[in-house]
Amino acid sequence: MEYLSTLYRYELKKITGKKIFWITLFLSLLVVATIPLLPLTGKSYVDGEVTDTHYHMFRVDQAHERALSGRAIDQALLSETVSAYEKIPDPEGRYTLTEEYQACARPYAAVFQLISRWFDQPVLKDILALEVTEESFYEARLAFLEEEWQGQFLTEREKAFWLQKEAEISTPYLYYYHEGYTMLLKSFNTLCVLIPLFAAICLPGVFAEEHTRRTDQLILSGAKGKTTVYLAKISAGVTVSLASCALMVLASAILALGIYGTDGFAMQLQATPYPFSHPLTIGAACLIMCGISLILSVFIGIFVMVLSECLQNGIAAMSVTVALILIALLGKVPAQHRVLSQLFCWLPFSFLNIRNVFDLRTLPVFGHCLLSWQIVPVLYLLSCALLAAAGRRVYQRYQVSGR
Amino acid sequence: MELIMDRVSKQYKNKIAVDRISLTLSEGVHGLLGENGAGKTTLMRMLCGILTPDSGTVTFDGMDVSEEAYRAHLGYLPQDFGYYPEFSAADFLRYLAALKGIPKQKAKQKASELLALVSLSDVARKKIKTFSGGMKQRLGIAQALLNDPKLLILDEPTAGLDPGERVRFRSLIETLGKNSIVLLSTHIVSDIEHIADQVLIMRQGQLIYQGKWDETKGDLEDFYLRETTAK
Repeated sequence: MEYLSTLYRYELKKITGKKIFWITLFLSLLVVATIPLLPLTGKSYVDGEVTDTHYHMFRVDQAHERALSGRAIDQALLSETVSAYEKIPDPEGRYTLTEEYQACARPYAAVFQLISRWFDQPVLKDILALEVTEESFYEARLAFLEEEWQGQFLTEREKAFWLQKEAEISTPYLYYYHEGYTMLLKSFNTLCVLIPLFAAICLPGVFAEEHTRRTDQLILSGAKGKTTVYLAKISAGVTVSLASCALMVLASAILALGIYGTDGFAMQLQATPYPFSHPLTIGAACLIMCGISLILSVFIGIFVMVLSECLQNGIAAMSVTVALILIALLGKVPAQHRVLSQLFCWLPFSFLNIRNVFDLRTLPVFGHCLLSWQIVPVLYLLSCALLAAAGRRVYQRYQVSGR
Repeated sequence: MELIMDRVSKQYKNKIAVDRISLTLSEGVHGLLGENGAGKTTLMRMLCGILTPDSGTVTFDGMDVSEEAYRAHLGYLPQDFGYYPEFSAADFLRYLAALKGIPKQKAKQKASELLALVSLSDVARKKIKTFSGGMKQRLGIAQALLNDPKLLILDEPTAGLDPGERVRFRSLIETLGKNSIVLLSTHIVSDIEHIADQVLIMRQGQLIYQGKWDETKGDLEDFYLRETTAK
């Protein structure tokens, strides 16, 4: 154990002693910081004239949404919302510029957005033509979900499963201002690329550079070179991947919640525009995403290191990882190919996205419907152990020859 | 103390690098001569357990080359040894000491002693990337001695050393050979002719000469050139 801790410290030093490590970390944090800041920069223009700054618009909307916080989305709130929007003189025109919208309707924009979403009506005039009651609102939500289920090719068992989950949440839902958590959830789309990219740049050298530098001869001829060193290297690589991921998640959370506010943790996911039926709050969803990010960073870290040992080339391992990131980013498998599509969403380079983590498609096992956010992290943890064991075998069998 | 090689062979595609070498070495300095491509480095790598022979066995006092216990007695300086440019000389030695299973306190003490031995004490805290070729080679020699090896394998150890350093190195090897098995490969005859207790000559993967050398047998360099260039 004494040797392991000493070797571990030196392996950490090898990784963090390189300039590329600090440059990549700095750039990653810079990108992370732009996600919550970007929507607040810039101005709003109408016919070439500045009407408002994005920051001021955010502050106004935030005040309105905070005023609605804690209210049930019931008949009273829905009626107030519709009445407020009915005051707009010309619903077909650019109504957001009118005084009536600013004074009366804008305070209810968050609820109105939900009505528009669930009734699947993007046009104001069409929404005002609807009879929006508490009953029709929640029925519309269910109809919207059923359409989503159809599009995802859910089985009858899955539909029944989600209907049961829907029934577990009592209506009317309570509305809370929750922009901080929404922004944090959006940040994970960026982290989904940044976490593997960081590993692809900083970790292939852990094993491959020993071969290119020819230090492998010294290591493998040492008493602890074939056993403890492997463990020290893997542990150091995982620590770096995990710590960088934790730093990025922490930076995202501090910025998102610091700028947009921490209120709304307890709001049900069902009261957001997301088509989810999971009995979770938006705060819990954020915590789950954080946990999954950390697990993924461990898996990706091990994957990159083992790949570099198998290929004995850091650049090749980096290229393969970047190619996989691009495939996950740009590729898409149509939903009708149910199994392939689901597997694609579970790939480590595409999984860290709220739609994939809280995928409505489940994994049926002995009559139970296992959810993505429950089963995929477990599979990744098991794969970590398998990958590390396979890598150990490759490492120990390495032959110093040629040159 | 005995290092036994029994019919050790290694083949790369169509080339037989080491051809059924059987050899028993005991305490002393053993000079391994051979021209480039004779199979010296391949043989040494197999003795260090970093290259598996196609056939044959290597044991040291009954321990197989694949065992951790075997490597605990081993000191190795490869021909083209690598280093970590961002590490200081002291860090490099402490890292390799941990790798050799030397406890932390002893490693610290041993690293200081060896840095003094190879005249690198004053640059112990400097990064290796600032070192000259000769300084790096001396650091390589120091790392090979960290665990007071009973089996010391040195592949072209004098490469990059200036004449003064070569002389000091030879006397160090002579001292080490009294209590351990030192196998030293080179193609510079003068490196070994006065200090080697036994001379080994390799040609095309085979051991073509093994035995003590004294002046009554004539000039070693002439003999070596004659043997290695003979068809």
